[in-house]
Amino acid sequence: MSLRRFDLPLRQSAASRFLPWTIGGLLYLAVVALAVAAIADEALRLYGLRAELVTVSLPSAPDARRGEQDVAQAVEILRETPGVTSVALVPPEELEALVEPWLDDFKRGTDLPLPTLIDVIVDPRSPPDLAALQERLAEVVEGATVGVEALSRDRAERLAAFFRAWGSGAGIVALLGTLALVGLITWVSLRMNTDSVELLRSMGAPDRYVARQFERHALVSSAQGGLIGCVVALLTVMGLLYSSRRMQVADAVELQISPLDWVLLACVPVVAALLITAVARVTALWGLARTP
Amino acid sequence: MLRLEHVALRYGEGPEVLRNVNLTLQRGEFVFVTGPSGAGKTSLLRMLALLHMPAAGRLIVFNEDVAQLSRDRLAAIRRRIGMVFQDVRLLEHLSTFDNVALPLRINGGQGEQIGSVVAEMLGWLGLGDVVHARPSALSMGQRQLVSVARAVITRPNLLLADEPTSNMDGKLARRLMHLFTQLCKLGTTVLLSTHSEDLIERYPRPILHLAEGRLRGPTPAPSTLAAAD
Repeated sequence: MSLRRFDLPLRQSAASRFLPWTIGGLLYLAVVALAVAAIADEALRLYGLRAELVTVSLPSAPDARRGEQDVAQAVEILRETPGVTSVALVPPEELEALVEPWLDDFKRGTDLPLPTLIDVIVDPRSPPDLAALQERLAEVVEGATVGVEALSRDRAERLAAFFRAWGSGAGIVALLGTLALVGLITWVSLRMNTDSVELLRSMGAPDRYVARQFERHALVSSAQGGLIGCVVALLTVMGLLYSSRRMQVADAVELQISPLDWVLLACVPVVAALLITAVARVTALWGLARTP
Repeated sequence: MLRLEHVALRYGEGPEVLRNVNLTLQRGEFVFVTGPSGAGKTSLLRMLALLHMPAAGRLIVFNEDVAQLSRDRLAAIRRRIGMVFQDVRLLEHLSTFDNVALPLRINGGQGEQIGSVVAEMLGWLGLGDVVHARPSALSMGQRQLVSVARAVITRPNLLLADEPTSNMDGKLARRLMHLFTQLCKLGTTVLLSTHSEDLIERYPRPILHLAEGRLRGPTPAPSTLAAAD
């Protein structure tokens, strides 16, 4: 049985004629949305790897004794905080080495007040709430801050999590929309071709034979539209990734898609075609079962 | 092979279009169905083609009570029935060849086997030069011939023809009637609905008369005229 020849005039109706393009458009949206989710997921993974080190900064105290008290209190709070796995003071020599390139000769021989830095390692699987931690530290040591990079990273992570959820949701909605549309068009086509369907049935065509007509039409439409939609979507995603690198949109991590996710995205039209075919078949059989 | 016992037919919740129909037809019988417009001729043929189920009574086709059959079994029985629709009902997007080949494809026929059978049938009906033409390029008479060819291509056990000669000239109609009588001799039971007095007089066969959904007959064939075949 040729894939190009249909016993029923399914390609003659306007709704069916535009089906490949409609499927193509919806699958384009689905692939782009799922790609956004994959990018966000990959970013979250990279953030997870990098978010282990947080720097806590305590302002310089008026005297050495007070400074020691501040450090002791801050270290105690940090050690008690769930999600903190280790706390270590940055040695003064290392701190001086850090600021030397900027202060150079000015620093030598002077008693410039330098903050106390504490390196904190956090558990990436259950990191502490950094904003709350900063508040707690500031209550004990006025002016204490949690590393700015860590805080902004925390916000970026939330943004990435939002895009992951949004992308997954939008992708699934687009796929479900495609399936609903195919079901609707199949049902409308069945109603529009009542006489032709009856003709086939009068010749002894069983329901599954008639349903196969709609199934093949949906398969051909989804193969045509899905392939075009998916290729254009993947090119769009590649363009987005390329331009994000050129414009350095994300400073903490490089936006990318893992090889596995590329493969999964390329499989979207295949999975969609199978689902579309199944929906067309089920809808046609459902409609035919309501005829004598 | 075909028996109707107190059969009634209605469409949905509408009134009965056929009432208390009783009929028995044997293998190889040829009967005309006549009656005024709206009498129920088309409804009777459509019901015998199993496109509608009786609202009451028993319809037995090929010794099987259709009310007891599954959808697949009904489809299998339909494959033994040829139906010529009054409105011809050709698939406009298919060629003459593909329209006629359709029942063979539905029956699971394969390429070459279908090709030779269809070509032979179209040639015999004088449609050899329009094999690849779309129905829109055919005359009304040719369209009707294609419709008949499609109905008889599987050599059905039961042939139901609804006004098959209505758009044909006398010569073409005689050719068609010759085909039907030949099929009849081979064992096909033929029910032919017609308004044509001329046809009934030329081909003396039993007549079923339908009026307001009720069947009278079969009455014997007119004896005064000789068969033209």
